[in-house]
Amino acid sequence: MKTYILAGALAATFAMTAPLQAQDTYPAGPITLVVPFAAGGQTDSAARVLADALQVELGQPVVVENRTGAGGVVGTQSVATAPPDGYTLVIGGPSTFVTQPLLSKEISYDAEADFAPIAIFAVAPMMFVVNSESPYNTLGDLISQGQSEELTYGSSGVGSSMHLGVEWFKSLTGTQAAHIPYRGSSQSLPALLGGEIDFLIDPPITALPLVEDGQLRALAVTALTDDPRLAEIPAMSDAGAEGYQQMIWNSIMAPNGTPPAIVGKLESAIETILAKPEFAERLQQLSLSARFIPSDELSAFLANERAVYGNVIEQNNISLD
Amino acid sequence: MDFIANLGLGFETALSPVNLLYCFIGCFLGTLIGVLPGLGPAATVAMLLPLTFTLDPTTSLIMLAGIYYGAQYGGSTTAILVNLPGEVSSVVTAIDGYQMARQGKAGLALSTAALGSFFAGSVATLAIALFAPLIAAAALQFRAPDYFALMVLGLIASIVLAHGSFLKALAMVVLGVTVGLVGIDVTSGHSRMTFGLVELSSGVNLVAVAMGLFGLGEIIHNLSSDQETRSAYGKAIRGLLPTRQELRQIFPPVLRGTVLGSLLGVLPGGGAILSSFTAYAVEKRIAKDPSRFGKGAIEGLAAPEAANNAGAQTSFVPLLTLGIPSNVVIALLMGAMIIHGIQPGPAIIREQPELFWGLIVSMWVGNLMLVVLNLPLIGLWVKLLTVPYRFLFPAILAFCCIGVFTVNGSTFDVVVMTVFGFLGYLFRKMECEPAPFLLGMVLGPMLEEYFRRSMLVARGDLTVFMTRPISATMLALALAIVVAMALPLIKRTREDALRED
Repeated sequence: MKTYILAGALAATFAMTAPLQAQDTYPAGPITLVVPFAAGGQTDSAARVLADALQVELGQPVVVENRTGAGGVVGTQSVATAPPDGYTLVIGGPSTFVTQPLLSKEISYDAEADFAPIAIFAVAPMMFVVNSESPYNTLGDLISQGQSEELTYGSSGVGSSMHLGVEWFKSLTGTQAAHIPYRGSSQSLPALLGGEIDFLIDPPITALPLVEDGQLRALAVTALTDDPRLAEIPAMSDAGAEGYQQMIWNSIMAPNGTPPAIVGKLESAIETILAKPEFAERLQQLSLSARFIPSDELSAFLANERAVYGNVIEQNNISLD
Repeated sequence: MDFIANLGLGFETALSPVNLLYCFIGCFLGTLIGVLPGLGPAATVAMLLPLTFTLDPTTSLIMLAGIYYGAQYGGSTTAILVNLPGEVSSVVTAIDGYQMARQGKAGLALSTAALGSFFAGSVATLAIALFAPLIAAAALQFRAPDYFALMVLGLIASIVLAHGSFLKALAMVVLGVTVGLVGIDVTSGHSRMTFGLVELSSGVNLVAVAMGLFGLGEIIHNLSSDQETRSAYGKAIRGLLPTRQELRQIFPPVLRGTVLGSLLGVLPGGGAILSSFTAYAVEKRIAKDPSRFGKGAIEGLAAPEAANNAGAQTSFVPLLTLGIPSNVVIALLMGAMIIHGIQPGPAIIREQPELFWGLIVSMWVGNLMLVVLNLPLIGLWVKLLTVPYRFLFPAILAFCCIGVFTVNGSTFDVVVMTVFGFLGYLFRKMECEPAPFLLGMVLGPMLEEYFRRSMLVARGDLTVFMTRPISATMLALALAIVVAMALPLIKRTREDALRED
């Protein structure tokens, strides 16, 4: 009888220490980093750059896996239900973690409750652009024109951050503009170049080359940035849209229930990586800036994003269902 | 002379041993995946993308581009041999190409496709080299109403595609449009006809539908028919290469296809898909005897193949001149450039002349390689047809399932393909053709999208379609086709009516 109790106690001790040990030795095997978008895009490229660096930092292979479908929902969902052991992580961004869950009731995961945020590692502003032949030289010009006459703007679809951003801009400034949704920058940029629409908000990765070539004019950037190529362009909050602040960001998320020690280990690995100039340089090539927002601040950051976008969505009655 | 110097730089880059090797690898892989049904260039480029990170940017782009246009060559092979279009662009190839194969002219069909593609590829490459910025500027003139008019023209042309009953073709187009509307609507952002299935939110997979309707439908049909008709299709095979007279016969269609394909390929958002369909419709309209189409007309194979390949080359123009990708594969190539620290955009010709001209010359070199690679292979492909059908069909089935699965890594798509396989068989039984269905599925949603966008931009003013010269011209052309089609019909009914009197 005694031996049984002893064995039981031993077993219990082992059961308790086993996960602790697992955390000490983490990572003991390859880590899968799920990218819920197609290979070759900006998010995928950023994920691969980070995976390369994490691999060196953690001493274990970090494998990028593209699980695409339904605008990122399929891949994100698959990680929400993955074992919370730190071996399956997902790249998070504004659409999968903020806007889509706000826009649709049919999203099968809870962006808040199902995930443990680890850290943001890259951010970028977007650019407010017009055709270079347009009469608007400043954001103020466009706002005053838009207050007396309805303009048109393009976006990458209903509920995209380009759409929600402009709707926010409209309510802040009283500008009137009709929304023309496109299937993405590959359609909306030619429309702006061809004069079909008056303006749009687009990420630097696609818009900046056309601005540098003189075909488009950048009136503002959506947030302050340390990207030297955007240094000359005023921020929207300084150019007439006071209080406006919008960024693209990439984060690492783990399934909820991931032990804090593992979250901490990943968080500090990302912090170390971000301090390296060569990492920042690689992100710069992708038109992204290295920025570290740790786990505890990330929750507050996400709450703020949800409040801002939630407001825009509610005011304009936007839904994807 | 600048142009000569630029071409010289291009040749210097493209003909360096490393680049030649990777160009060959790309073309070879492209041909392989083109031949394997379903496994398209998008999936392959996505898979290989990470492997190219260690290569020189020019080299990796040369290889990835090779995969893309190589797949256009390979894609026609299964369409011709076993009625299995691995891609939407080879749907038209299957119509007459497969009939030629059934008549024992598989070799001729394959070599026509290869030679037509080579000619088109070379001309289109030259066009890019000479006029890339000009072509891009012209493409920017296209606005929503013009796209709408283009789609109308395309849909009208799709009815010309059918060689059976006009009413059945129309029914197929409508059915195709309906299936095409499944998924999230761009203009409103709402889901339509998805029945709560996440898998349907981005629409019904076109490749799965094409393979089901054509490939699986054909297999079920073959298995349900008796042994005799089935074996008839491996019967005596005549010469593999076209005769001088046949060459003369295919040259004008190839030339027309090349021009059409080069022009339509540049348009982002659907131009490329239209090119092969439109080329076929044009050939059928101007043919002395349109009734041969659908029964193995060589023009009906040569023109769309040329258009298809020319379009594949010129679809690089928006990327190289504006940094705007015109389709999924090109978007992946853009990703490859970005990850190498090259910003695609207007500055590329100036700042990366080696990459720009090297890529263009490599496309021509790649096209040459593809012909050299494909012509000897034709004999081998044709021999494949002599494999007894009881071995051939399970192999085709297996490849189809694997291929469709790899496109999105989704088992749902395999189910879609199976369902449309049975539908394809049903359509055959009812003598309805699948080609108008597919075109409806592709064009219907775009037609709606561009119409609603035109209305949004013009604030509901319908006259916008008449006041824009591009759209007015195309709509007039569409009307002319309808009238031309209707006239003999009216005449005939009148004759019939008179006879009854």
